[in-house]
Amino acid sequence: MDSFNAIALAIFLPFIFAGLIPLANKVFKQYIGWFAVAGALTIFLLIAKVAPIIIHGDTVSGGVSWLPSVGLEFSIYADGLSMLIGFLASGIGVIIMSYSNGYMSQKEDLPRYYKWLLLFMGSMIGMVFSANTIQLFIFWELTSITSFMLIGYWRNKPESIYGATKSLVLTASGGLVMFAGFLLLSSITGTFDIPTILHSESLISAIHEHKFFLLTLTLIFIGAAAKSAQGPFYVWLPNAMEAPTPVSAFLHSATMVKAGIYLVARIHPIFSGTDAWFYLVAGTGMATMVVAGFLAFRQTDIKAILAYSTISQLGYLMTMYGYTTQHEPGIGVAAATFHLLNHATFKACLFLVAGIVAHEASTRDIRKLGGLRREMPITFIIASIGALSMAGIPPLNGFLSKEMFYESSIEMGAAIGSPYTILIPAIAVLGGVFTFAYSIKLIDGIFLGKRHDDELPNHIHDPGATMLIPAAFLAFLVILFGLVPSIPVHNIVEPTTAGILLEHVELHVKLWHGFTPSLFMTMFTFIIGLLVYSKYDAIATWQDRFNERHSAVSINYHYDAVVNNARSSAHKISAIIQPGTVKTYMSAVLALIVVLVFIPIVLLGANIIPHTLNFNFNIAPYEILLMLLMVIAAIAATILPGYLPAIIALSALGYMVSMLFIYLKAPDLALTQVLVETLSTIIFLLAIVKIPQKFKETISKTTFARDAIISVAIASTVFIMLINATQGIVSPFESLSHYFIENSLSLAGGHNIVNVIIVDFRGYDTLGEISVLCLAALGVYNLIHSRSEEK
Amino acid sequence: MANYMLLAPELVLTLVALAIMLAGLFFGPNNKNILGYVAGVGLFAALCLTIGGLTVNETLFYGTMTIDALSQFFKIVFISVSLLVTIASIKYTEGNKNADEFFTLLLFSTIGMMVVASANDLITLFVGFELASLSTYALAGFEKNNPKSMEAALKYFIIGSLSSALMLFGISFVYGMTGTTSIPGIAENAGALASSPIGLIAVVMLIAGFGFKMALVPFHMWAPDTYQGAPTVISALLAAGSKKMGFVAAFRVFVVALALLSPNWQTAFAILAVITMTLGNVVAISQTSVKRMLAYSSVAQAGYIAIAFAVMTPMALTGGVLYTLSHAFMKTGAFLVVAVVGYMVVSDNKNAKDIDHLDNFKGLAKRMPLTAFAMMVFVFALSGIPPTAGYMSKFILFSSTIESGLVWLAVIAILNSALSLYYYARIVKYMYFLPASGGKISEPKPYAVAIILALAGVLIIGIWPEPFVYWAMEAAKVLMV
Repeated sequence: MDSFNAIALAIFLPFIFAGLIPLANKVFKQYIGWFAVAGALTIFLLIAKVAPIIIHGDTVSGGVSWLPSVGLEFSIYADGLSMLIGFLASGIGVIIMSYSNGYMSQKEDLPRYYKWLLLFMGSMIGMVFSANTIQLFIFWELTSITSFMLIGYWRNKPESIYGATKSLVLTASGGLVMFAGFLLLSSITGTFDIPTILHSESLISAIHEHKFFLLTLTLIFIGAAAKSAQGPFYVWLPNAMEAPTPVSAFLHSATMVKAGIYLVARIHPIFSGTDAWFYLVAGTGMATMVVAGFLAFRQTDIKAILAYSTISQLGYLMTMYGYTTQHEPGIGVAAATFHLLNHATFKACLFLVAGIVAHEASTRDIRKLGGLRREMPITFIIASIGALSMAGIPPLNGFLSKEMFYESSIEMGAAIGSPYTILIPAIAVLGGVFTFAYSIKLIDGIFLGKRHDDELPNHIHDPGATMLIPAAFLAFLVILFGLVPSIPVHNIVEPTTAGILLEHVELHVKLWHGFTPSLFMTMFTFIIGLLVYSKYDAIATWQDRFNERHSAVSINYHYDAVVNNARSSAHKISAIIQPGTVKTYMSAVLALIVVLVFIPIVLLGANIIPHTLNFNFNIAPYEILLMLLMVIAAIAATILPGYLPAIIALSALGYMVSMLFIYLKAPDLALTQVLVETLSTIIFLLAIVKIPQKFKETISKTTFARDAIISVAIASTVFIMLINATQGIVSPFESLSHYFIENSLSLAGGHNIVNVIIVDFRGYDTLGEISVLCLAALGVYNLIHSRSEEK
Repeated sequence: MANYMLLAPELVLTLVALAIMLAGLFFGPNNKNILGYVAGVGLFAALCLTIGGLTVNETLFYGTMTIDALSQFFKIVFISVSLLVTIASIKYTEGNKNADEFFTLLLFSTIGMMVVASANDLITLFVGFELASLSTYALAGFEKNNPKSMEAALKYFIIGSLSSALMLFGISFVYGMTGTTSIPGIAENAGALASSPIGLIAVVMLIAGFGFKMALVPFHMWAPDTYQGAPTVISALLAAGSKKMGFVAAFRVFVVALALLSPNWQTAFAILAVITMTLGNVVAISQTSVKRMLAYSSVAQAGYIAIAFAVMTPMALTGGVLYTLSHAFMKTGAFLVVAVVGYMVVSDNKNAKDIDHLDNFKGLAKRMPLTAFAMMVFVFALSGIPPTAGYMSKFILFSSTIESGLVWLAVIAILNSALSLYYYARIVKYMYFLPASGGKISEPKPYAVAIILALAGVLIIGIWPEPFVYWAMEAAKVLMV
């Protein structure tokens, strides 16, 4: 099996496994989770099979024909970057699914749970290995939908439904915005293929010079930010914590939220090296890092603390990927990549611990927890490793990547110059200080301090091996990566960085790297961090009070306002534009026509009204009389009270029209008109007796005025159009009559031309007319008949 | 004579329709719905015949009708929708003594739409339009004792007649200025029309006439009332089938016949598209009746398709044509789901009111898993989420819009898709997350079959779009001559 097939299989196998779940459930029953674990492990091994090639510095790419009409293939591109996220999605997937076997009660709907987990995993892997933007977008939106289903897994909790909807609305619509950016990108470059753009300097410079450069970047970045909970879009992530804890660990800390980071890293070579990239990506990242870290203080639910911490840590990653200058576009890329890996390990570990604590102590409220170190010693050790790594304590992996973060911050600051030389490292330290404080709070609040006996169950103990081993394994990785950084750096970080920067990369990361400026920054962080921690509760109280007083500061407040008001405002709008009466509907159509025809006449001064009228005034007196009568009948039809007189006036009008036809020498037409008029009058009369005989409608003056204006306007518009049509703009046609005069005898053998036309030249037409009249007459007969039956 | 066989699909349907009308006299009221199978077989035969003639390019009856890739593509759309509606209606008309008339009218309306698809002459086009319209007026009022159904039919009829009048008015101006009603003939002689203000009037009148069927704002107002009041299976026919008739007519008349006047109507369509999609989506948010929500959503969808006229590149037309096919499956499917939910509600409680209310969708995933899953796919497809037909069509349509330089239009359209996600997600939320009010029940077979077929259509076009895109392109080529 070659590498391309291995990757393709890794993308589709999760979907196949998910499809097999209902069947497998009959065999595995409550052990269905292990079936899913086996699936995830297979995927992991498939990716691992390809890994040596990528670590060696090559890439895997290929495609099969999918949509050749628009030049799209189903194509795969595997480099270090996609391999890293692919490993995370499948590797952490294995860990999470194993853990779920202990966490999820057997009364739960397990097949549904594992089905959506596998579907998510497949979407995530499909996303990272996609070589073109369209395919990437497809899998991107699939991750949003699967995340939606997983957050809402506990259907009976309103909070989880709220969280699910919120995440879908924000991430999927962010994705659609990103899609607009992708379409712009392909219209600039003429290709959907990402590697083609990455490896073509001419295309990249074309993008940089294009007038839509900023728009394209912004649209794509909005999608990434929405997915990775950056900037104002962070609000969905805390609510997504209503998902089962393994889901939070998997989707909302280790993998799905990394999709936005992945995208930023993926398009890094295309857009970096510009001011826009720095301000947009690093700026958003720094703001998010600081604000989310600060807001973590207020949280009382340990999962909420972890959620804000995740947002803040994703902010770190954004910041580092955003560090760029024209000469060195990728200042923070290596640091970011290493931190991405480290964050996935320690944060997933912490989430699993949170799950264990909630599972055993029946609460996640940090105010109620405390003093669990004696009862849960192993959990305590695992949690401490994870939290200390997050805080950046040596010799854990978090320390190493945070050092690199500080180092790149100094470099970035120096590259731009004053005042950024100080400002950027200072912001970085501020983020570190908050991280340090809430990390300590997690250990202190749960495991140290006094036990709140009245709030907690009597006997709390470490969980079984199914839940403990996955967490312990992650803690082991945290230590391993810290002590022997060359393993992850050589196998993962270097190829990934090379994949992003498109050049060969060699990194030297050591635990002890001398007294560097970044080490001093770290020490400074710890000292300030301890000071801040001593005021932790005071800061949290202040935040609460501030939030109460200034609720408009919160983005959640605005999200809720928009969403809650959306329906009532939409309702108001629809009441105005859709009142439900046919009259309004018709007025709208007619008014639009009047406007569209009048605009060219009045505003554009189109030459639509002829200057000289060229009427043939040879009108006989009968004609004038007939027309006068017609006008009177028409007016009578509108103003007579009651239906019956109005109908009679209307049919009088019809009969006079047929008389006009006789006068204009069209007896056949007149005959038809008389018949139709008679039948329709009869039908009218038969129908009218069923409804009240008097108009009871009262029309207000304004309505009357409006209706009158519309009527007059439409009538004059039609008048103008008719005048126009009769005044020679339309060239006259050749008359057909000579044809009939010449041919009626020779072809049809008749002297009376009218007769010949009716029964011969237009025989089928006459037949049709006769059938229509017969049918109408039958209808009339039926109406009368059914009335007599009723009596 | 041999090439009259090209009209075999229409002929088959006509014969089947007449046969059903006659046969109806010999059936009792309790088993008349069996005639639905006959209609279904007829439609299936017509579908096969149409697909068989996919590569033909000929004209008939002195050039008044044309059989080409465009006509065949749209005929497939119409027949597919009618087929799905017919299958579902076998259940809907169970025990109804007018079932024979129902299926006859359904077939006649399909024939009318097919005539429009093939029309190469304005008079032929108008005749087809009226045949389809008159049949659907009657179908919308099929539930004679239901005042809402009556209201639906009456509003549809009155506004429909007005639009027909306007369309005829427009046609007469075109005829007056060009001296012909033949579509290629008009294209040749459109010079005088293009240089005169009459051209603008004609364009306005024709947009008003076709816009009524397409349900473009402000000609859309009948649509929500009618779709809501009409029997749900007929709402599916109107939204998915008869709406497309307006589009194919507009494609032929504007893009082919009045191509010279494109500066006039391209701007008009761009503005109408923006207003239509925005208004449709905004108002859809406020609806609590799923049927009405789908009606507004279908107004919004018409706005997206109208983009094809504003852009008018071969790729955009391909997107527009493909969109009509995708929309046919998604919208028919969604309405059929509403129909099956209505069936479920009535079987729970005979006197239930507001059977299309969103509350009835609570916990649908528990009660009817297949239907709920299908509905989820349909609404995600409508909002353009991959991997569905809706996404594929939007992708082609919007990317061509951006390529032609109308970036603002594409961005508005995509933002609209994001907006629509809000109300579509609400349906999914109700189905999957809210508690069910009853036990699991199984869908009646005909509904299930129709829904599965529609689901297959939506997913196949989404996952393996190549053949559909290819034929949409061929259809678009007909327009770009």
